[in-house]
Amino acid sequence: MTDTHLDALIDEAARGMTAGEPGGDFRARVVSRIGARSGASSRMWRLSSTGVWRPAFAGLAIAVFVVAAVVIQHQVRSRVGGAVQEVRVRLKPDATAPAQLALNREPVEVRLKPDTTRERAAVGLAPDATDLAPLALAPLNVDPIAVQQLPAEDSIRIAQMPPVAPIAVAPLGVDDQGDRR
Amino acid sequence: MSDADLVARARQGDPAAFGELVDRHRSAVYRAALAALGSHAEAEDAAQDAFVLAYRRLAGFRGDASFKTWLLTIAWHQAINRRRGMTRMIRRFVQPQRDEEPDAIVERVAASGVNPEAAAQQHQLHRAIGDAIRALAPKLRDALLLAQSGDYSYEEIGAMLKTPIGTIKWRVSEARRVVKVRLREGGHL
Repeated sequence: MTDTHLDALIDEAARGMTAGEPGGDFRARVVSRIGARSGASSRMWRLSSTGVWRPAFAGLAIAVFVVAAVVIQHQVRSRVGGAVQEVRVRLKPDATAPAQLALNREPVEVRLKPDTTRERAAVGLAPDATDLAPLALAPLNVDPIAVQQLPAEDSIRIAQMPPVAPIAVAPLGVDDQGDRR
Repeated sequence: MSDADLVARARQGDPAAFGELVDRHRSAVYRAALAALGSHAEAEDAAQDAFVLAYRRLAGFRGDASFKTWLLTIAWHQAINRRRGMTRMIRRFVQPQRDEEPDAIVERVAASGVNPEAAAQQHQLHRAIGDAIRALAPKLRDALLLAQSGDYSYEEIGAMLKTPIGTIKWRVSEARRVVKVRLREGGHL
């Protein structure tokens, strides 16, 4: 089989794979789809051209206006509240402000007040030990302890016991039967 | 009446004029979709979509190219968008190929009067060529099918694929070469 013949077979097979026609009612189906689309759009156009939409549109516009007004008012209120809070923050003393003022001012002579704590010490709040009078101790008046002599009692009398008689002990023995007696 | 006249009338809201355009170009649009999709049902749907879309975009048609080229470009895009859908791809591969009935083959061979053995070999070769074309890379397959369908010029194919004409011609030649290599590898030559 020649190469040209094979090419012809390939082309024929390719042609066969794309052979075919759409259905007989193809045009009708396309036109009906287009008509359905254009019908929907023309209905919208008719609705808009007759003015039926005007009351609905007016109501919708009013509703949108009211909602927008409420939203704007709410936003304004929230903004005012935020501003007040910001002012409150500014009322707090700023630690950086004095430093800036001191830098900008001319040097100022500062007179310190006399220290009154030393005067208070001299007055007597903290007395010196040398200035105190010697402490005088008054003698105590205490009576001497009186010890009374105990009265002499009679000596303890112990009755003499009678003499004990000696105990007679008999020696142990074994009888004829072997028992111990 | 020329395409340009029909387009002008269709723009003015004449549905019959656009219907005439549909009749004139429906085969070309359908075959382009069939080349892309490989399924008659899918090709018919894609072709309808292409005409509807073209009608909606008719106001944007400036006439730089012919109406047919412009329409084929829309149709090819529609078909390629369908081809990209995963479900359609799966359906395409799962769909059983419509093999010719054995009785029909026998009847055709008997009617042709050729040697039945030679006819069977030729049938197998045709089948192998079809399989090899289907197995081509999409770019090569599209160029080959569009070029061999007989409905389009290389200029029109170039506009559809947005590819220079020289590249289209090379792809067609390369597609033939690859098919022949695969036929030899499959022992059909």
